Amino acid sequence: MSDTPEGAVVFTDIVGFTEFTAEHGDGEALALLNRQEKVVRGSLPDDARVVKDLGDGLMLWFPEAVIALGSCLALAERFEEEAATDVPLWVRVGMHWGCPARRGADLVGHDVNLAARIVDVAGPGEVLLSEPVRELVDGRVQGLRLDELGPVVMKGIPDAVPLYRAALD
Amino acid sequence: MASDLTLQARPGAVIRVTARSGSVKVTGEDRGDVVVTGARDAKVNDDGSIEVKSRSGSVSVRCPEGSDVIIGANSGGVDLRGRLGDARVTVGSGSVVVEHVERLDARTGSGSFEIAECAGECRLKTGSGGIKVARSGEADLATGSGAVAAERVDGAKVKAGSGNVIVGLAGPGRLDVKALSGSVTVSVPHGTQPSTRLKALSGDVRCDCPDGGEGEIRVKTLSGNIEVVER
Repeated sequence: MSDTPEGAVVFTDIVGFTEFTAEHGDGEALALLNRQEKVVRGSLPDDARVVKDLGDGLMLWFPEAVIALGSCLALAERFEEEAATDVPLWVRVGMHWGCPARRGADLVGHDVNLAARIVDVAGPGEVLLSEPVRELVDGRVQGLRLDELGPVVMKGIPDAVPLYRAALD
Repeated sequence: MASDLTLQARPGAVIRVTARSGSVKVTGEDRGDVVVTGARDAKVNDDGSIEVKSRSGSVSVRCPEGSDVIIGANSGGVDLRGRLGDARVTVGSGSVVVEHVERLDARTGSGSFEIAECAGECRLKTGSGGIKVARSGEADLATGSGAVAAERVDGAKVKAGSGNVIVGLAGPGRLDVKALSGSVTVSVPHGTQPSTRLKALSGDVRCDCPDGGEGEIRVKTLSGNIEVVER
């Protein structure tokens, strides 16, 4: 295992995927996953990457925070456009900034675990981020509004974590 | 028996409560101080905010009416009583009950919401659990699985995975409902003529209102019926 440089760990997650699969079957569920991946891969900047596929979500890596946030907000907008059609691509996004360990092409460690917990707090269409991301992006993205959600107590994370919801005015 | 801790609060002080496990109850009442029961730690921060921390067990906070509250809890319900200001609540698993707040952002991984009155914007997110709102301003409601019943709202955006959705518009507002599986019923005041876009991929659509420009109602459900009725 080796350390990576600092970067943004991002998780996406399709809300209601289990219910959708139960109701509409594996074929349509697979199409939904493919749609998510296509939207994400089509929106990623060159130096970002999909770390892995998580079933109903994706784990992403960005080397730069402002670009990461811009990409996530653009993704959220694209997902909303998709959701306006007959495809219920209700995707939520969680972001954290840190220095995870590399295990082959995978990333592991506390910062990854925390990012995974953050996406669990988000609702469909929302982009949530942690304090380290806020420190790097606040005042550097035009029209960015960050609403504090407060200290969030997360399973397996010792201290409460301040989270923010990001949106463009 | 838990002892009370009394803190002197500045007017408009924000109350922050974090609880690792156990329930949290905050009551806004006619008083000037803050009384905390059952907490491990409670203090007044330099910025005047009140910080309450609890590791396990129930914690109760009695504070001035109209106080803003920020609550983070892992497991256990959150109960907001009396009249409070803006409230932000995050719970890992547990339900949230609210009597009266000015604005609300509340989210739980699994658990339900029961909101009596939110004067302004009301944002509720749950992974699995029902949502009940008696009265609110603009509402943004989402549940992965569970029913949604919003009795009177000024307008709403609703996303529901599985479970029926019932929304009552207080007037000619904007409503956008997306449901994966479940029926959707919308009620509007008698005589309202809203603009409607109603789509049920497998289900029936019924609208009792004449088409007009008094507000906009958009509903889409993948499976389930849609009804727009007058009351």
